Amino acid sequence: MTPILELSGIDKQFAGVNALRDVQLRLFPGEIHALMGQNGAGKSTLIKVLTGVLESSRGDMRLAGEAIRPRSPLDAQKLGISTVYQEVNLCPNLSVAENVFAGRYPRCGALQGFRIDWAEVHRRARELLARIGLEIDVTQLLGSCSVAVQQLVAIARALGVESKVLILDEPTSSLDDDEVQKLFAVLRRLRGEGMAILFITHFLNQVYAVSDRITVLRNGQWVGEWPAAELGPQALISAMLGREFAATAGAAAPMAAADAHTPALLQTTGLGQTGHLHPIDLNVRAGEVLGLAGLLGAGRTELARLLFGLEAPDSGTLSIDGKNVRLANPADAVEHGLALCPEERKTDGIVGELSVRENIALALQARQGVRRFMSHAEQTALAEKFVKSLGIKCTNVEMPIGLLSGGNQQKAMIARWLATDPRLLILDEPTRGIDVAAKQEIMDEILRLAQAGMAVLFISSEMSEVVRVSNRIAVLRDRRKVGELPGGSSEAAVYELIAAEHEHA
Amino acid sequence: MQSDKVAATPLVPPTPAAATPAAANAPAAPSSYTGFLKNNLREYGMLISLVAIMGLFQYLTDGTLLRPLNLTNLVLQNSYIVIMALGMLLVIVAGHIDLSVGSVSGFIGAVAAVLMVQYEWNFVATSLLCIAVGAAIGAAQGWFVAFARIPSFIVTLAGMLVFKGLALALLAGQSVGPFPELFQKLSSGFIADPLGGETLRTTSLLIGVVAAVLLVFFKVRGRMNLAKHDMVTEPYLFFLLKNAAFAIIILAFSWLMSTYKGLPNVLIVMAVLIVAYDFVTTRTTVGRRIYALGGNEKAARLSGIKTQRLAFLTFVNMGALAALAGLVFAARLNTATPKAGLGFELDVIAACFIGGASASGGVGKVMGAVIGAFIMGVMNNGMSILGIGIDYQQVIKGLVLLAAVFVDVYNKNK
Amino acid sequence: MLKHFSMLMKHRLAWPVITLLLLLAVNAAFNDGFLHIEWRGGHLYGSLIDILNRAAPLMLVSLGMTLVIATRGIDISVGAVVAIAAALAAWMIGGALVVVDGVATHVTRFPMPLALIAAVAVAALCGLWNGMLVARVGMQPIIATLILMVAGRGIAQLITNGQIITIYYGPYFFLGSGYLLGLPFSLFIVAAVFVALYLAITRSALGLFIQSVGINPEASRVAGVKARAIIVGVYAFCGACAGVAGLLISSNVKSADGNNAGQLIELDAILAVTLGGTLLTGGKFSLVGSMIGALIIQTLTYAIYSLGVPPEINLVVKAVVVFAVMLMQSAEFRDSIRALVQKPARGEVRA
Repeated sequence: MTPILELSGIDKQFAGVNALRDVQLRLFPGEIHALMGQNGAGKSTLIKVLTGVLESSRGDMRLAGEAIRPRSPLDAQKLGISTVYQEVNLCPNLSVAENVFAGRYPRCGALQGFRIDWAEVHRRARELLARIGLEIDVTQLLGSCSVAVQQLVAIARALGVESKVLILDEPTSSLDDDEVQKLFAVLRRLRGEGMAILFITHFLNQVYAVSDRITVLRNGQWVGEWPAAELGPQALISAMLGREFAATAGAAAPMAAADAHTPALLQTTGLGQTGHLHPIDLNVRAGEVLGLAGLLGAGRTELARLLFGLEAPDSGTLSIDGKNVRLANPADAVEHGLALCPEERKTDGIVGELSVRENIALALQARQGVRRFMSHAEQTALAEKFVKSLGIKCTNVEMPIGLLSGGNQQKAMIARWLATDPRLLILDEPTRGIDVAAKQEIMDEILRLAQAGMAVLFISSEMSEVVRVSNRIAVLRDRRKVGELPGGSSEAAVYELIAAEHEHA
Repeated sequence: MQSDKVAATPLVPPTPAAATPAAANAPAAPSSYTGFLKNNLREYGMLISLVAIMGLFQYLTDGTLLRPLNLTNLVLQNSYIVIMALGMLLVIVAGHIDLSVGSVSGFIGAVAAVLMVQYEWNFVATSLLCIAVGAAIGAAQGWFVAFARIPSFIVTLAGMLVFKGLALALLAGQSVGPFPELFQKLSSGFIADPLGGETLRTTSLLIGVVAAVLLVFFKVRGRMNLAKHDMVTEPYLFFLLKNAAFAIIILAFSWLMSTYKGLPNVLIVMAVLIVAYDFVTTRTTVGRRIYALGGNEKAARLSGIKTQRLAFLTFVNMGALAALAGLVFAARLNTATPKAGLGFELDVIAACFIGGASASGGVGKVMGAVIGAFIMGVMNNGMSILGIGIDYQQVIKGLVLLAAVFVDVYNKNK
Repeated sequence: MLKHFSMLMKHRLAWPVITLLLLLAVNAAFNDGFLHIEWRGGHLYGSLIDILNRAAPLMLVSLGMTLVIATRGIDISVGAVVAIAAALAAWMIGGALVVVDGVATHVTRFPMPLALIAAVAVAALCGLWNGMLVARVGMQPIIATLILMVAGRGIAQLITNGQIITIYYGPYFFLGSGYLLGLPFSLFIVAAVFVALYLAITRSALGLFIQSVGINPEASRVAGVKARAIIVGVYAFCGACAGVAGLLISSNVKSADGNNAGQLIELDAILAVTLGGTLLTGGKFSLVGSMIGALIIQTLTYAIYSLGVPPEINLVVKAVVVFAVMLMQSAEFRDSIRALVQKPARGEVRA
């Protein structure tokens, strides 16, 4: 059988950086194909090339044997490639039927070309929805439907334009288990009709539940393509990460673990948020580094946001020093001595046009309040202290932080939170985009802080770091906690714990 | 004003994916009364509010409100609001706002006055030119908003200034009038009455009867059509009551009007425009595209909709309607004054919001805006009859606007 | 020398200052004695002094508007608030002339200090109202302040009972028309507010927080900044500024007109702020720039009058200037101009 979609030799460069290098992909009609890879592996870039958002620098794309080069999402759609995005890109103020046909209404009447044949619109919408097993009132507003239904409507829309290829970009992130099963039923049905489906996800069990073949990308390069049945979870993980786990035990022995009798500084009991995190029990003690390990999408950032008051939990309790607290906003959390260095520094972290000095001083100043103002000199001294201790490369602390490189921005963010002298510091991917030497510096700093009595919650996708620096490791997978391991466990042990859950599932 | 994000969490409890187990041909059970009411609360609420407010003022004014003379005045005094509300609704649905409509309509009135009175142009040519000028003004503002991406409130706020100044300059600070008689007929004339009796303008009554019959006919046919496709959602009782009420109102209204001077010309103009715009926004591709644009611009663009051009066109349309309203207003006063248009935009915007339009775009119905305009009009009229000062009137108007927007924001944040 | 010059040009106040100087030059060219200042009647006298005096209310409103715009908001109700404050003060002082023992004196309904405080307090409350709608209810600033713009004039009219209240109380005039140390008293008020604000912004964390909220509200929130409180406070302050401006205006014209006081001052204020270099998209702001912007507008108005251009054209000119400034600030427009001006290099593919 010939593939319906074939990519070969795809290159894509951004300002000299290779986002994709010699990537290939084959999609056959009547299959569900999973595209996997860690953050930064190039999945989204490849999808953007496929859907016409970006144009590849080099390479071939063939649809049904014919060379194509989509220049815009509309172009790709017209060629027969439809995408359903994670953030459903439809209009919530229009009805279901209208969304299925937006821009392509069946017309009628004397004013040929203007008047919409609503009866036809509704009839055909219902037909399309029936094809995927959805029977709902097509006249209701899309906004009043659940995300799961909205996604199915997006799929119906793709059917309506007679797509040959359907791309689903992280479709299950906002769905609960039942809805996921319903989606999969739809996908299987479509597969039976001959549709080629490309399915991007990071949920391991879902990959195995529904895909026929798996393609793995890593660091912008194609690693391999396997039938799902032939690639076990451990092999998949090592393909995504790029190395076999050493069977040998992990690196340096952990720093002196906090006394087991030390009362928990922060404790959660059944803390969860519907749709984002299953109820979780966790505790962190002063002077210890708790590592939060898991693959992309395991729920680590969601947990961090709950702990810091950025999101409100739907269930469970959070207690600090033994007393239940309700954190309505980050200011509350800061008052209790918490600090969060967020993952997305661009949107949640840096205030671009302000100087390095102001950015570093911001959180401390926010805690001190409006009146107790740090003078210019004090702010400068503070900023320069951290510039030195963390090795932030900038001409001086007055330059706008937006001009710093990503790595240096990250260091400034860490500096901001260290300046507040917190009792519990949550670091979400603090070493992303930082050079090796700097990573080491930060790791050492974390250990120093813990020794001085600070509690640290350390989230990182670099398992080696987590393993090396944590006193304990909590392992998350698919938004629930699957277990805890003592510090000094090997990476292999962690991955086994992650993979094991799947096999028992 | 535009928002790209679709709420990830449902606004009401999620509907199960497979709602009815039966085959597609099984008749959908008519929703329970309360369920239907809840979904269409806003729409019915407005209608009921209008009726309630009319009833309230009718009582407070000892019956003056619904006297034929007053009804006629009511229609004539508020016609320009309705006309402009039609255009403003499209602008708001597209996610923008137009604060210049008052000044533009005043300016166009001034242009018309100067051309007709000082240069003695023919009134038809003048009117057409004026509407064209209005459209051109709308095009200019629309260009800045849609293509140069400058926030609409700044562009139109500046536009408000420009045309206020130009109107003043054109009129040299005076009032210019009177207009040729035929032109006056636009606003203060009534339709001809070939079948007229002595006390009753029978033609008007006849038109009212025909309108009521047509309304019932189209509604019934529409419902039968829906039934054919098993898509009836409105319970029969409500359907009956609502359309009976409408028919009775139309009949009563035309009766009352025909006992005075009959139906005003401007009412016919309004009716035609309302029907046309309602049709465009509910049944044509270009109309629905505006809603898509307002709901999610990115998605609309991805569907191939030319969003910039569409936004541009809504402003052109607004300009033309503002010009028409300016003509109507000037014809009614029989002069063009420098103060014409002052504060119109607030009435018009308030009408749209009361009628259910959403500040973030994508939501709003033509009929809603019309009802909103009527509510404003009845309030204006009723409060004037009661002798309530302009000051209180403005405060009350502000409160009504607040309530309307509040409901909208509350619904959004739920 | 040249290096100093180009560095000076890069200063963000460069263009506002140059524009102001240009306008002054234009005025001087067309008006003999424009720059002439003399000492007359116990105080400084001249066109420049006049401009300063008339610009005072606008400078105040612009200060408040600057902070609001810095948080990515807008307040179009300031005109109505000006009217409300003026009306309240005038009413509380009372507009009656009383003859006692053959001497026409004035008896105030309430002590003047109380009236002043009440007026500014009510104005601040109006601002608070706006701020709550924006920060707590989540309305868009343009809509939220539109409501007060509609209702506010009505409230002002209610206070004045639909009349124009004429004020006869002598001491009140001092605010807007009096002189202290030879300079108009209104300038001292403006200076006091400016200095207080400047100190608050630079000696406390307010400046930092306001800018932070305007540039990246989410990051500010994560950093623990109480964004909501900041926004509410900023609108309240804007209201208070409008209140003081209302006092100055009514004091100057010796009356309070609920309908016309502060008419169109909102557009002037927005224009002054943007001329002064603060972007409508929020973030960094310049108080001095807004003050210069207000002076530019006043000088422009003066130039238009003295050139004999009809006052209506004043509005048109102002609007054209707004447009020009908007366009300059609009990135899309700059890009399209750039694209028009620079032709693509040969062989290069246009995006």
